[in-house]
Amino acid sequence: MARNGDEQTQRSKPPGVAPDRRRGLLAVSGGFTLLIAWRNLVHDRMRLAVTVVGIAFSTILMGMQLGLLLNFLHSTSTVVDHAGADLWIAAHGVRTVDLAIPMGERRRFQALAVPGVALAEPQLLQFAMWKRPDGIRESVILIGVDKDAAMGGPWDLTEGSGWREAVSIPDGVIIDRLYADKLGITVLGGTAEINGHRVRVTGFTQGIQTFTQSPYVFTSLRTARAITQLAATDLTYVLIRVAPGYQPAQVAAELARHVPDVDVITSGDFARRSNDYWLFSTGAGISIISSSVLALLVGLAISAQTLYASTVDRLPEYATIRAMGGSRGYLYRIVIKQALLGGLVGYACGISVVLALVHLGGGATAGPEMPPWLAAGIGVVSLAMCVLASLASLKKVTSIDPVAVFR
Amino acid sequence: MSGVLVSATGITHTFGKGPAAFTALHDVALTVRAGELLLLMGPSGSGKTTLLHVLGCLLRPTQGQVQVLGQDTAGLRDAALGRLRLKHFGFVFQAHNLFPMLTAAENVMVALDLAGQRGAAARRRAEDLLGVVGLSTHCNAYPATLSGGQRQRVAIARALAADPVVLMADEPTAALDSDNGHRVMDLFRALAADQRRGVVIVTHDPRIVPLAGRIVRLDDGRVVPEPARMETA
Repeated sequence: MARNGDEQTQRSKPPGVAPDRRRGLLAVSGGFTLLIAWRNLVHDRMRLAVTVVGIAFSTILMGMQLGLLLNFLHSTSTVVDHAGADLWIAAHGVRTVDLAIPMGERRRFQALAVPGVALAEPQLLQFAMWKRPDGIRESVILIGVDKDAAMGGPWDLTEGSGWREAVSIPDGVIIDRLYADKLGITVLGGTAEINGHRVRVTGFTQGIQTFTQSPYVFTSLRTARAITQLAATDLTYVLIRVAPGYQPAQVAAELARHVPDVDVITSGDFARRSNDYWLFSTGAGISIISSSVLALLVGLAISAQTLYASTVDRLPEYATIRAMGGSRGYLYRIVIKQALLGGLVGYACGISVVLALVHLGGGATAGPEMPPWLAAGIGVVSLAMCVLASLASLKKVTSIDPVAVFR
Repeated sequence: MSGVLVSATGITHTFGKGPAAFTALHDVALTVRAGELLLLMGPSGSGKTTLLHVLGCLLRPTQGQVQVLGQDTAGLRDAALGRLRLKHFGFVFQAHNLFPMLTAAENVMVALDLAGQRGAAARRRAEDLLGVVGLSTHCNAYPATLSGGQRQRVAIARALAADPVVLMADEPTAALDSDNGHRVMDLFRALAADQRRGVVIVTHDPRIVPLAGRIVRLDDGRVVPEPARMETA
């Protein structure tokens, strides 16, 4: 047996004892673990570059795809969203606002007789063939509204003397600036033909996009009927405004009871029906959403791999912290903060590129949209992805045996 | 038990189970006292590192009792053992394991941060500790720019950060040349003699034997009696 030292001392703790370390996990070491995480991140420049590029790539792909999806969602229902109607009456079985089915105007009169209906206005919407001055033909969607209508007219008119005046001019039509070149008319007063009927552009709107790439052309109900050669009593939609004190759902139920062979749809439902038709019946939505998910998975894989490699590199130091008495929570905080910092840098780079592309594509007819809420949402998803990517690293950290540091 | 910092009695530790089980320590008893520099020596596989782990509360023995400042550690959970290590022990490793992307002062501040000291006060204390180990001019140096001996002294400063009563070192001079080895050992001796800490060192290095206050030799997991040597205090 070894000899015990005979030194007897009263010393149990020298001066300068560390303060209470039984503090909450979050209270202890918030800033220093952030420093360690940041230095871990930037210490290996190549790995940092891979991490940032991976997350930025994921952000760009998600941003562009979701921005496009948002644009598609807006454009597939823009006519409904901007009509100002509470309810729509359409021929039974209509699947999207753009594929309208004619019906008789007596439906409008039947609707007017229903309690709670304040306004019931006709709209006629049909695909038609536009012939440019140079003879090239383009498909358009013609929308005819009464010049006195309170609902269903064009919006954001930037050229012309008001849309009611514009469509009151005989054979006057309103097109959007986005499609001026496509339709071959760039100035007010230009003439073209729709279904062989001569029309004159009397107004331009700005920003009314179409999902089908058949531009919307607004005109009077009378001109629309003449162009489409539908009967003078035909229309495709009746737009309903509900009287004060009535609930749209309640009036819709009454309309469904009193007006036969039609669908009575709230504006919100009709917008969703139109979105769903183009996005899911055509496969466009599935394609966009799967691209976004793929982008997320790519970002997840790249950030998980680089973070894991970084964690493995630091295992001896982490084991040292464990041996010194540091908790697993301390190491978790380093790893998660490192993941979040990588995510923030990558997201900042990626969203900057997305915003630049959105800005550059501002004049495009199907460019992505990036409102602040979507940019913020992508940021949250990117950071959540990075935290998810840190799980493998956290598992590795959990398995650290402090004794390993002596080996 | 005045002066006794760590007391181990009847320590037996077995790795594994069944036919593959290996008993690394057999009924070892040992105390670590304030102000002594204790060397654990012995051939490879003799159990000295396992004993260091047990004394440092890094490893729970299969049998036996370890008391730290009179507190029995047997019933403590892992987290409580971790707090105990943080409060009473400082560790120095052969490979020092400094964060390469942190400066010398920041490496010391990691230990201070674990102990709950932060901000400017932690920075000042880290610089003071680096001054204690003779590196006051290297506070902002990164480990890669320091010599092996300097790195080891940074590791010692880090081990001292939480003001432990016991320092435990595993082959601290193995990777150092003679000059640096002596410098590091002088530091350990001063920490024991001047600051009344217990210092336990696992080593194969015969150069540091003359500096030891007490030597415990192990062979096949058992303590071999050793004649008395000079005291450190």
